[in-house]
Parts: sequence; structure tokens; C-alpha cells
Amino acid sequence: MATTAAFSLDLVDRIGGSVDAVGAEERAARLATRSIKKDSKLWALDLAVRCCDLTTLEGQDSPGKIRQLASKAMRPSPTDPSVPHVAALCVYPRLVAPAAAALMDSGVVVASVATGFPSGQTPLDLRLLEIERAVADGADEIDTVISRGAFLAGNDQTVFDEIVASKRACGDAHLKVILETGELGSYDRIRKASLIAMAAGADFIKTSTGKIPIAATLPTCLVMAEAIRDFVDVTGTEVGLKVAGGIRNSKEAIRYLVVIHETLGDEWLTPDRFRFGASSLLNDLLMQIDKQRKGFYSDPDRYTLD
Amino acid sequence: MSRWEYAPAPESTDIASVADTYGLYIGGEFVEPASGDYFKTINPATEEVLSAIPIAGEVDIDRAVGAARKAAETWSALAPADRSKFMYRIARAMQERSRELAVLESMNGGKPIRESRDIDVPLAAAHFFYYAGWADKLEYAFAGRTTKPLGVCAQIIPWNFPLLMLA
Repeated sequence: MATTAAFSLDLVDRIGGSVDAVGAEERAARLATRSIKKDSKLWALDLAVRCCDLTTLEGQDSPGKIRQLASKAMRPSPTDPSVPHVAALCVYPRLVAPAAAALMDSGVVVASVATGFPSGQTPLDLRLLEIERAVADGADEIDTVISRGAFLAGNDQTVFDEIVASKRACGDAHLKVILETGELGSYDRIRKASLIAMAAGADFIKTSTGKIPIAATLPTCLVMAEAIRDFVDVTGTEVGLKVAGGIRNSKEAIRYLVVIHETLGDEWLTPDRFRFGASSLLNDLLMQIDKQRKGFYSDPDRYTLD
Repeated sequence: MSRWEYAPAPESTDIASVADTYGLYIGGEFVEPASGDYFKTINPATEEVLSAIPIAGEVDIDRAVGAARKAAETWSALAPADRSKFMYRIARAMQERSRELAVLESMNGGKPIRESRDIDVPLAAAHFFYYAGWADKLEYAFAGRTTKPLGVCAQIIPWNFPLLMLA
């Protein structure tokens, strides 16, 4: 396989570093106590909406459901035009075409999972074909998974080469690389996998598929954000971070934003650099925005189910 | 561009009041030092003068130790359960006014409120609770031995954990 990677795998060892697990958890726990109120909270909630990848990855998804979600993505709060649109609608490859047709040039982009999501256990040529088809159907962003089996067996070069090939298959589409941190077993491995993905050309690194019980956690987000910071220090190439899985309410979302702000700074508080992958988070954000403006909570039945 | 601001900590310096000057606490009352010398204590965060603190000399220390020795006679004559009641009362008073004490510790020592609020003050109260619990158990704690008080002791308290060192 010819690699046209921007960096070589040696970069991973050159940046190196290891994670103090207890320290990372304590720091994340301490950052979780920072409080954001009033105007800043409203701004943070608005930012969280703008950073949302509204996601539906179910076997029962249909073009109809995608159209419905697309209208929600473009106008999350039908009665309140001041609420911004989300960043992307994230779907399975078969549903990219209806999603692209529904979203048109609304500013909400189409993201598609690919490469045998969520396990990644299909042959490489099929995985790459999946990416090419999704891009051809109109996907602007591709969420791929790494081969955890190869990574855990120590075949870093395989993982690296596959990401390089995926990046090439993406063409102009943005590549997000899912590490599935819940399967990696340690913060050190999460850091290493992050560095491999970035060296191989990932535009974003992403925590989880959301398909296994252990998904995004604050310490994981911190460890990955620190890996990005170190990567940027050495290469000058800026990489985004997407946290996904299990983030259901605004309070948690704001904690992630605090970790990003304190680790990577203000420049990362934008949809170009940071995303939430979530399905039920958006409704809670809408509720909290309403509460923040009106001073009282609305009935949850006033928000759409999907 | 960004309107990212953290809310201020709920602890404010308004809740603590500090007198302009303090005396040496000897024999149950605040007295002036024999030398008449004071030094100023400042808030390291603002460099604002908080209060004037007396400088104790040999004469003052002799007086303090004398007063404490006298008090120790009455104190050790108390029933163990009564001694523990006093100490429990100190511990509870410390907890009740913990926010105020934490703010004072931070104003005086310059440490982050997180440290004084979450560590120093609760730990100081915990020490009093711990020893209050021991007061009526000393008799059984060391088999075949009788415990007796060591007597008055003098301590030089460092600047970084004043309340905790006292405990």
C-alpha cells in the first residue's frame, strides 16, 4: 500500500509521553466543579448546539426519519429562530443520500459512519469502498473506526496504514477517526492511538462509537485533548476532537467544554475543532436554553421525541 | 468572540470580619505583649493590611505557660466524658463556621479557597472530633498501663497551616 501520509509513524514515538491515570482523573474531576452561569452559560449552551453532530445510528432508521431529523438539525427549536443549527447530521452510509437531499445548503453538513462501523471487522477494500460510496452520495465528513484488534496486538503500522488509506478514500471529506476508547484498556493506549490517528492524517479524533457500554468520559476527553495539544506543539497541524456516547444532558456537555477550554483554549471552542456526537443531548440543551431565558423549565413534552 | 467566563466562587471576603489589632490570648483574655511590639499581617492576594499581630517575647511565653499549667490542673481533674464534650463542642463550632474560617485562612495565608475550604478546615475539625472520641477511652487503650497527661507544651506554628497545626 502506497502511503502518502503527511507524517510518518515515527512521529508517535517522537512525541511519546505517558499518562498519569490518577492525575488525569483528579484533574478531570476538579475541572468538573468549575461553574458557568448566566450569560456565559447561555453562550456555552449555544456553542454546544453549534457543536452537535445530531446522530442516529439504528437498524430501524429510514429515509423518513432522516428527513425528520434533518429538519430538526437545521432548526432545532421550531419556535425560536435564535437557536443556531447543529454542526452535522450523522447517519449510516445508506442514508447519506436522503440526508444530503434534505439538508441541501443549510450549513448543516452530512456525516456518515463507515469502515464496518462499529466493529471495523470487514475487509479493508470493502471498508474503503464504503467510504468512497458515502462521499459520492454527498457525505462531507466520514467517521471511521480503527482496527482495535490490530492496535491491541501491537500492529501500529497496520492501524496507521489503514487510516492513511481511509484519508485518501475520503478525498475532500473530513476524516474523523474513532478510537473506541472503551476497548483500549488504558489511558496510555488512548494517548498512543490518538497520536497514531493524528500522524496518519485524521482531521478529528473521536472517543467512541456509542455502541459499547463504556463511551466518552471526562478523563478520556482530557487525555485526548492533551495528545492533540502535544501534537499541535510539534507539528503545527490542528486536529479536532469529538466526544461521543453517553452525553445526555447539558451539565455534562458543559463539563466537556470546560476540559477543552482549559486544555486547548478558546480556539477549540468552535464546531471546526470540537464536536459532540449525541442523539438525546440536543433536547436537553434546548430545554436549558429555554430555562435560562424564561427562568422556568418547560414541559419535556414540548420538545420533539427524535 | 468568546464569552467564556467562570462564575466567582460563592465564598467572598465579606463574610469574614477582622479586627484592626489582636492581643495575646493568655489566661482567658486578650492581653498586650510585654514589649508592646506588633507586626502587620497582609493579604498576599491584594497586599492589603489585615490586622496587627503582637510579637510575643520570653516574658509573654512564661506568662502563657504559667496560665496554661494552672488551667491544666482543673482540666485534667475533669471526668473524661466531660473533657470530650468540650472538644466535641470545639469541633462542631469549627464546622458551623467553616466557611468563615476557610475565607480567613485564604486571606491570611494566600492559599486557594479550594484548599482551605476542602482540606485545612475540615481536617482541623476532624482532628478535634478524633481526639474528643479518645478522651474517655484512654483507660482501656493501653492494657496494663495508666495514661496521664504530659503537661503543657509550646508550639511554633508555621505560616502555611495555622489552624490545622493548632488542632
